[in-house]
Amino acid sequence: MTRSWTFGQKIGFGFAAILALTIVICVVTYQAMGDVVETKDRVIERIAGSLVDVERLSSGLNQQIAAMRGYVLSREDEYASELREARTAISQVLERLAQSLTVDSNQRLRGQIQKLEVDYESGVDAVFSAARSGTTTSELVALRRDKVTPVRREIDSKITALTTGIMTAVQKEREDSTRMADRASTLVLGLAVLSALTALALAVFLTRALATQIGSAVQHVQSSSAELQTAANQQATGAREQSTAMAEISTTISELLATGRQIAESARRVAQIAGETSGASRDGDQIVVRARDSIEGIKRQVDLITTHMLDLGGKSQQIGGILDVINELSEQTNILAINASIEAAGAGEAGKRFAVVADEIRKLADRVGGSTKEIRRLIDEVRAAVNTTVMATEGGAKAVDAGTRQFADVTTSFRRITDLVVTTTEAAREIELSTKQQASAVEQVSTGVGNVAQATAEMETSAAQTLQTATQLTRLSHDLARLVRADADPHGNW
Amino acid sequence: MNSSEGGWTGRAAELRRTFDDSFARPASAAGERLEDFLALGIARQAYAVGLSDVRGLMRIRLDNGLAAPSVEPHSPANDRYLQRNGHSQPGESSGAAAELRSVVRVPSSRRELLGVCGLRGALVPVFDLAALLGLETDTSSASWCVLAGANHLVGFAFERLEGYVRTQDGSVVPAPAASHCVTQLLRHDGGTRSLIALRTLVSSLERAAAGRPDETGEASR
Repeated sequence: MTRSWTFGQKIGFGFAAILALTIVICVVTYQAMGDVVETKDRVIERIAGSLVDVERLSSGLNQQIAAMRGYVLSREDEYASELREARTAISQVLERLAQSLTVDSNQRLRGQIQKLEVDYESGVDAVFSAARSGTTTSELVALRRDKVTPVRREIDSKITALTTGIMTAVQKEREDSTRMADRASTLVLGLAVLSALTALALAVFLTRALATQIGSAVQHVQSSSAELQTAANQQATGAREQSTAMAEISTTISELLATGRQIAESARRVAQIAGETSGASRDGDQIVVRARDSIEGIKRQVDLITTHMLDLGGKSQQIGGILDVINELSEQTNILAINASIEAAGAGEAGKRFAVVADEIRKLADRVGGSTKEIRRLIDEVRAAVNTTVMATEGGAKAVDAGTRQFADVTTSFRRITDLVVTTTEAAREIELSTKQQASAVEQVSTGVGNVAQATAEMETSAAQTLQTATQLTRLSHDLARLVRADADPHGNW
Repeated sequence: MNSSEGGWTGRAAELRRTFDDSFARPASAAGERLEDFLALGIARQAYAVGLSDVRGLMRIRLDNGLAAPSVEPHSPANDRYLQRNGHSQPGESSGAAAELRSVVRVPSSRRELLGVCGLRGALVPVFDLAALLGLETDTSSASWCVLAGANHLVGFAFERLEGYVRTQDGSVVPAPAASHCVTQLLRHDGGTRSLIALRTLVSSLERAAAGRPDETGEASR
């Protein structure tokens, strides 16, 4: 995750860590110093208050003695009031001491003083009562010496012991405060050491991380600059080759321009010839239409010939029927002639002349029969010829039909040819127009190629500048590598 | 067409000339003896009958009460024969078949008897000539009939009439393998024909009828 941090983030993180440690040290120091100061103030205040209260306690005792002496001497009640005020002050001092004293021995001394104070007040009251009753001074002195002075001495000794105890407690609290201040000092010192170590570790970490990343980046810059140098060399070489190719392209485009003009001229001639062909195809279409009409007339004539031939076949068949009749007659004649010859033969000599006639009749019938047979053969030949002619005519009619259909196809083809020729004409014109546009475009391309050649030369110069910049960048990357890593060689290698 | 017309014109002149020559031709010489025969075709064999034995010739048709008789067309071989001999070709036409004489079959124990035929008010028995000669043929093919007989007419049916033959004396020779009704051969135009003795056939039939009056006698009546 830290690899994705930027240099600013890493440095900021280091400074933030050191700042946090510093703040912690300051807070701890401030807290420790406050505790020490508060402890000292509390010790001083309590010790001072306790010592003052002890002194006030002695003072109150002295005020009671003073009020008692005043009353004894003047017998005025004002001293009684002073006596009560002194007692009130002693009572308040004892209450404060009960709250301020922390050591048990001192509390016990305060209790003993408070009990002795009661005895002391009783002794003072006894002196007052005696004074008020008129007792003599000597008696009053004796009474004070018996009732008040021993208690006072004991109280003083207790106050002295209490003062000693308070001083002992103060010494003890001072030592505690000193130890607390020492602990705070030790803690602050430890935190300071920790902060220093942390700062040192962060510095080492950031130094290594930055050195590693910057080194890697410098290496990348080095390799990239080397590649850029190589690319710049290649670019320069390519620019030179491109310049040469541009010159060749310019020459080729010039030739292409001349060829395009020739194509435009050819397309114009093609359009002209296509127009002439279109007219010729339309004439051919009309000729085909007339030929189709002629073929249809031939078809009608062929149909008529077929009809006539069929009629002829029917007539020849009728002739055949007539021949059958003639043949039958000749046969019957022949039979009659034979029977006549038979009868003539049976008649003997008388029938010979009749036999001659019958014989001639029979011969005539034979000749008729032979002629009839020959006529039948001719009629059969005629019928066969008619049939053949009819079949041929039908074949011719079919051929005429096929020819008619083919002429229809030819007509369709001619029309299609006409349409295609029109399309060809339009296409040729479009080719002519397109070729002219192409020539114009080629001229523009030629101009563009010239510009490209100029740009190529500029690019060649730019490639040289890029090569120089890449070399400088390589040098700078070496210097940066040496700045980042002291152990880098003079070439910036790690 | 013109040549054909010329040919037919010449044919008409030839016919006229031949017809006129028949009147101009002199009668036969006194010593010349001519014999007439009828050429018959039976079971694809050539036969002949003497015209002197024949009492008549007619076309017939066998009427079996089922169908009209078929008239067999002439074979090309017979046609050539007739053409070669200059004879007519009878029987080509079927248009006069309805006018043929009808031979009505009658019950008989003789298979040669085809039936009877009415002729000038008399019934004439008609026999199958091929069956009488012992030839195997189809009786329904008989379409010609020759009449013979002295007292009673008898008809002999055969298939084809192949022509009228007139020969000089000496054309009839004895048959090498004679049968009871074919004992001679007729030589004519380079070929021979078996000469059928119709009188012998009639005599044998009459004898057979005399032995069995229930058939031929009834038929004769």
